[in-house]
Amino acid sequence: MTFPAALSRPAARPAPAAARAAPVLEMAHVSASYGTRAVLRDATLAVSAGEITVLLGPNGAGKTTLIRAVCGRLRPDHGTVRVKEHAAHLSTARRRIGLVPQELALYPSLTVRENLDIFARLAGMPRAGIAGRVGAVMEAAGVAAQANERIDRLSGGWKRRANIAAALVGEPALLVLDEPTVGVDRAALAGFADLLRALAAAGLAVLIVTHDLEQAAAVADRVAILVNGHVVLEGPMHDLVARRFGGARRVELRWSHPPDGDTRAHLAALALQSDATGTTFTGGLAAGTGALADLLLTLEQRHAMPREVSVREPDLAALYADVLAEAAR
Amino acid sequence: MICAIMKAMGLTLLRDKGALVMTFLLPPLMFLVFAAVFTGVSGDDAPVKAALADASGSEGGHALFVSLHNAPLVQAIPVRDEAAVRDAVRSGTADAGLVIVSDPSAGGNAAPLLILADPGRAAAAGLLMAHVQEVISERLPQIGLKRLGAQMQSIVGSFTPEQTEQFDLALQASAESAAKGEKPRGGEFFARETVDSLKALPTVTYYAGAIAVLFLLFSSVQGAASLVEERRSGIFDRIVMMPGGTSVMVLGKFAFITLQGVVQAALLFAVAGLVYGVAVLPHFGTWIATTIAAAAATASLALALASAARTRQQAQTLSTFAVLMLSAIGGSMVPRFLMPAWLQSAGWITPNAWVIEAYQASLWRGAAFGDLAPALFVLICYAAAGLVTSVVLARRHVRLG
Repeated sequence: MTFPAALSRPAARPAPAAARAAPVLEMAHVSASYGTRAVLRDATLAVSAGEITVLLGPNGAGKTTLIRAVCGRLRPDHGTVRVKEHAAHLSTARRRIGLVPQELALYPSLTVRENLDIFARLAGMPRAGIAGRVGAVMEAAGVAAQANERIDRLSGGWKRRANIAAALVGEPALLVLDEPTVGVDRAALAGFADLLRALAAAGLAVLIVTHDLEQAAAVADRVAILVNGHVVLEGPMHDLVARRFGGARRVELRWSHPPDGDTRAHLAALALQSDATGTTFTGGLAAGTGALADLLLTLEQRHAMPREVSVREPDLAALYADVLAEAAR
Repeated sequence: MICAIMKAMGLTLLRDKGALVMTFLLPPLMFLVFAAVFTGVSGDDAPVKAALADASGSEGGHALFVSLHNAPLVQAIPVRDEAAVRDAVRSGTADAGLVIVSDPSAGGNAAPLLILADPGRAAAAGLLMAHVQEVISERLPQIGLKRLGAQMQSIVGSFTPEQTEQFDLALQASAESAAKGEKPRGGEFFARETVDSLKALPTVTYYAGAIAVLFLLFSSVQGAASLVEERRSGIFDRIVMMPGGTSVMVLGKFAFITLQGVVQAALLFAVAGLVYGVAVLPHFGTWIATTIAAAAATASLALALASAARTRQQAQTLSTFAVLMLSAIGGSMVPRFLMPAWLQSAGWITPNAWVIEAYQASLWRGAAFGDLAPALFVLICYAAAGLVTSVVLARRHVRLG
């Protein structure tokens, strides 16, 4: 893969492709277990070149196991994992993956350039091409100015960029990032999203595992939500949100104390779900139909006005919360 | 690819001043301390701290007491009586004690001198005895002669007046020559001569090897700990995705730690050669073969331990236990010839014993390659077994299911 000259500059989100390119990563009906404990159950996922897929899931959902399966470090009990048409456990597949672990997988007392030089050699690059490749990757990851700085003297954001750069030196087809923005301050996050989009635009297939919904929403072309080892939802982020909520607005009503039984019944009739404390109700209400105004009027008449009302456009966070709530029911 | 791992380890070491000092400066310094102990004391000139009491009330007893008090190798602690001598020895105030029970120049069956020793410092009693004999022989020869005369008379009968006169003259002459600092003439059993030698003391050569292998183990363990550290940091995860995988990672570390060990041993033996004349250069071939085999054996042993551990804490505990046990049994702390026979036999399971033996054979006895073959073979077997174990165990961390 070659990088465009100005890759480190912010890139516009690519227009949705009419048809997806052939998948770089194909995970089909994968089940895996540790002993008797099933960790992945019939998980299916595909990531194509040029797109960013964000994998979301609560703790214990099986995200780490899924990454291990993708990287060929866990052979599934059932199903197949293929990278560029090679079975994931083969070295031919592993060579096509650039892994960005959650930890800073770099030698701390070495400079950015020295680290990249070492990982390029380990990736089996011909000696003659290493300097050029390292230079290109540093440009691409936006760390060229920090080339001669020791890793342990860089700030969190630069360290994270160097961590990504090290995964790129082996010319991967699939970039797998595990919580890539841990320790990155808010100011640097926007630059991070630009970097990841630029990498996808350059032809990489990108799979990100993260808990940061804001960051995920900023970069995701596609979203996969993993619950109890099963990919319960997968597709283009905006399509999924639109399909889930239609034209509805997300409404959240909060009381100091749980409302009375009649009010609760009324809210339930409108498909607003209560949380465990019984003081917060959330759900979707169709926009432009007067449903919200009618609800508030009814609550006022019942002297049961909530302490707080919020209405917002449905987004990835709402989608994720809704899917988890549904899974919990 | 192996060179890439070596480069990473080399740069990391070069930028860690503490590790540099521990790896390259501390071993020669430790060697100098041990060598100073063993060259400063060669046995017969060792000083001894002795509690002295003169209970004889005799002129000869007093003369011996004063002479011992002034003897340079006896650090005398004068006390009142035998009980005080016993107390001083028992409490450790003195290494040994001497009670002048009766006139040492008088004849008779009872011993005029009583040496008291603590069982834990039995060697001190021997040293004190030697120093007393030396003092009597060189400073108070008339005491020995007078006692001998008295015993002769008890066996062959009294001297005639002429013999008594001759004997008294001899006593006077020996006292006068001793007072002038002259050596006694005739009647000695031993004549002693020190053989000139360019060789270092064997104990110094022994400790050069012993300290070398001890620090080879320590620095190998330190270097191999990076394997655990890199598993924690994710570097391991990154490298196993690359073409060389775990094998390159382990082999790279093995090569670097072995090279580091050779440099470390070279510095230690350079100091040993320059300061104490340990003969490295005349036996360079066997020395370098021993050093490479020793460094390879300790490197692979440390890597196997690090690969077996799941956490840094576990690796540290395992390694400390292994290094201390191997060093204690293998003779890095106490010379093996001082150990009981069963422990000496047990020592052969450690690389330390083979390394020390190989260095002794090479540098002290000037052994040829053929003589070193058993030791080198065992060390190479250690290296191979450790390396295979490391690779197998490291692969276990790659595939989790």
